Amino acid sequence: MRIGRIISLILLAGLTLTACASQSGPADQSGLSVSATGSVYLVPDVVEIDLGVQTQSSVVGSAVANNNRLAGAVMAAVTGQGVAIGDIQTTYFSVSPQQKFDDSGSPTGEVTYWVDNTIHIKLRQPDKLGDVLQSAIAAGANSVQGVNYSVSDPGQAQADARQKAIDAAQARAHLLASAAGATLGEPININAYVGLPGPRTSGAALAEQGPIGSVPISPGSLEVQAQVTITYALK
Amino acid sequence: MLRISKGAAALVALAVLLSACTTAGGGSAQRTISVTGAGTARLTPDIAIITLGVQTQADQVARAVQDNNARSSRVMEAIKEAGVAAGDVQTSNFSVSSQLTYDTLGNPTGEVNYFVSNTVTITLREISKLGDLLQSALENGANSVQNVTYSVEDPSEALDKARLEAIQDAQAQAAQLATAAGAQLGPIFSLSEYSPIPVPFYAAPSFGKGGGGGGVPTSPGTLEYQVQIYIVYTLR
Repeated sequence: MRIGRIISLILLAGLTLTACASQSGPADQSGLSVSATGSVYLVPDVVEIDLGVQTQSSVVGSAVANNNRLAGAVMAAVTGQGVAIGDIQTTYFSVSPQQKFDDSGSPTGEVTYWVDNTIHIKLRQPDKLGDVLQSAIAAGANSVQGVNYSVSDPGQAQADARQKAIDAAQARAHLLASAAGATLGEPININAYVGLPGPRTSGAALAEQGPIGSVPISPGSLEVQAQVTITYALK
Repeated sequence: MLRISKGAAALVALAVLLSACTTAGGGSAQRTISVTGAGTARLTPDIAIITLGVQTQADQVARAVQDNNARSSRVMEAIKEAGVAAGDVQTSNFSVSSQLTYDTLGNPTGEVNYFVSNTVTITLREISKLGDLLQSALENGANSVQNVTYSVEDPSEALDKARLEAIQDAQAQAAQLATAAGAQLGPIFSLSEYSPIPVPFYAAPSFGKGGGGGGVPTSPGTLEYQVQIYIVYTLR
């Protein structure tokens, strides 16, 4: 009985202590907190695409044979444009039958076989994309999905974007402190997030590369954005 | 007797813990006033971001691609002639897809329709040329316009003005509250800013002077940025 009471008291005290600890959250912390972003623009040096060959026939063997021949020709056309074999990956291969039905809804016994062979290509010369697409389609590719630009080594651009965000946050902190009549102390917390190169939201024009190749393609430019939050102590 | 006093001692200990807690919490030991000041920047957009493209179809994939290439080249040329720099034009999508045709029974006829799509995203810096650019792109073969969004390339100066406005607003609120509390404002305990999100603002005709020029009628309107600054003042 007594032991039970003591335990319940200890538990109560524990609850009080935890309630206590959660009270001193960041809302109670003194300081001046600002967030700022910094952006760097860069020309993509990698473009990725998926392209494939889809064939059909009522005989599975001939649908596959036809697909193999065309897919081989597409592969040769892509490597012929200077794409290394290590930058080509088969991402999808499928054979699927499709039933035919008569007007009463019963299967006729006739079947069409569909064969799909799709490759993913990493092209390290984005200005060649138009020619790669054109030659792949000429060789038999009849499905293309997406164009995805990126930068192979965004490290320096990310560091530059981070620095720009830090500079902007510092400048803003001084502006706000002097306007509000406060004096900044040391930074007590810095939080940074830097994204990967993505589509641009604003910013200056970069590359002077027009649309090149038989399929008109323009790589444009990408944006790397950093976000920094700094909390300064107040004196 | 012994048992009761032990229980009472425990209760006293608990009460001490609770009171220790409230003083350690900071909030009630130091009298404060919390206010949120707001400032607004209204800017006329100076950038338009347009997504447009060419979609073609044919029963032969090569023909659909060829047709698309020819039209896309003319569209690219029209974009260039509108004065858009190459770095401001990005191919955002190129796709070839197929669709089966079916007879009345729902059986595939064996005929296939190929769809080819070439889409570009354009950053237009001479916003007054937007109408002309859309018109000439459409005349030269573009048959899909997916999106037009407006933006301000560098709103930082206007945002800084809005921040100062927000601080003045916060100071005025705090002074009023301090008077009501019969106290004086002391040093700032904390200050933080909520990141501004630009909101398109359509109800200010005096701002819409940019206009879209000729061609397709467009109007950039106004973008409104709201800055909020949260300040906690100590009281004396």
